[in-house]
Amino acid sequence: MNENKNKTKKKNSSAAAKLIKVLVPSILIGAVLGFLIGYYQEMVADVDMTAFWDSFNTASYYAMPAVYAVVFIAIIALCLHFISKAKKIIANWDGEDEDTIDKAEKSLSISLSIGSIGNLVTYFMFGLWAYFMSNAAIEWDAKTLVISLAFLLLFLVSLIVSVLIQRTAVELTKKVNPEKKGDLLDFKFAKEWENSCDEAEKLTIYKSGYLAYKVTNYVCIGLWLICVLGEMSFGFGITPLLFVTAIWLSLTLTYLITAYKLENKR
Amino acid sequence: MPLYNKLKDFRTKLGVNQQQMGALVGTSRQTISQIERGDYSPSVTLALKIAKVCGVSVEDIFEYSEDGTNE
Repeated sequence: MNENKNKTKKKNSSAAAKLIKVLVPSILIGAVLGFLIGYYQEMVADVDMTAFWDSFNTASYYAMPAVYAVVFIAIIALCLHFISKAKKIIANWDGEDEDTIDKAEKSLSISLSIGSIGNLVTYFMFGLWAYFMSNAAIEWDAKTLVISLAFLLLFLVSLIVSVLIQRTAVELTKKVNPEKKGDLLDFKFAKEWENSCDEAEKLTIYKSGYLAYKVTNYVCIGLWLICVLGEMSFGFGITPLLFVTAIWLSLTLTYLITAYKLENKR
Repeated sequence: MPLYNKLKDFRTKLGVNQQQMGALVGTSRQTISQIERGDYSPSVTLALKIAKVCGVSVEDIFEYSEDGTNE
């Protein structure tokens, strides 16, 4: 019994030591950051940056469609490269060699991952462009209208192309794994796909989901801190804090309610 | 992982590939591959299904060894 007590004591003191190792550097970093923010505010308090930001926003507004097109084409090219690689392997697969079909599935998985991240990047760039449009010193004439409409059209086309490419990857996956169900264009796709997964695949989904939940919790704490410090130092406003809280709350509530339902099913 | 298996041997005796084995037991090709590599321990239900398809008992295919040695 004493041995167990000693083991627990040792474990607790080791955990406390680890906590101190994290807390002390965090406090020091926080102090340095706070000093730098205060110093920066003092330095730029009387500096008028309006002209600089006007020029920057205007230049960015006009450059954004080209930048967006380049980024989008690069993402699509990468996705198509891996899909094409998988297609070739599947076409030549004899139905027996497991290493070969593993390579095809890996390529498809990479393609889908690039597509998912690529979507986030394009959404972000669209949001950036909306910001530049609101804050640029531009004349609203025919030229500006054409550029704006062209960018909107580019964004819509990129969304459609992205979905079609991801659908191709999903259909190829279904070709190799006939037990999989669901059409990407169907609203019920996520549910049908999950239901057609076996126990090992579901375990992977659930483990990944739980890790995503844990990581997002930490990210929300960080974002909350940035929002609070940002409001005190730079006048961010309440909107960012509201959005972070909304995400954090929906994440926590979804987890808690789902866990409660599953617990009470037994 | 303390669970060892001879699934690949039994599957070869049956004359089926991983995809066919998966279809027989109601699981995916990747899961069969993961089980054979020792990367995944099947549930009791799946292990029983595999044993039934192979025409042997679960203990003939899967072996549990706590000390990490395969007897």
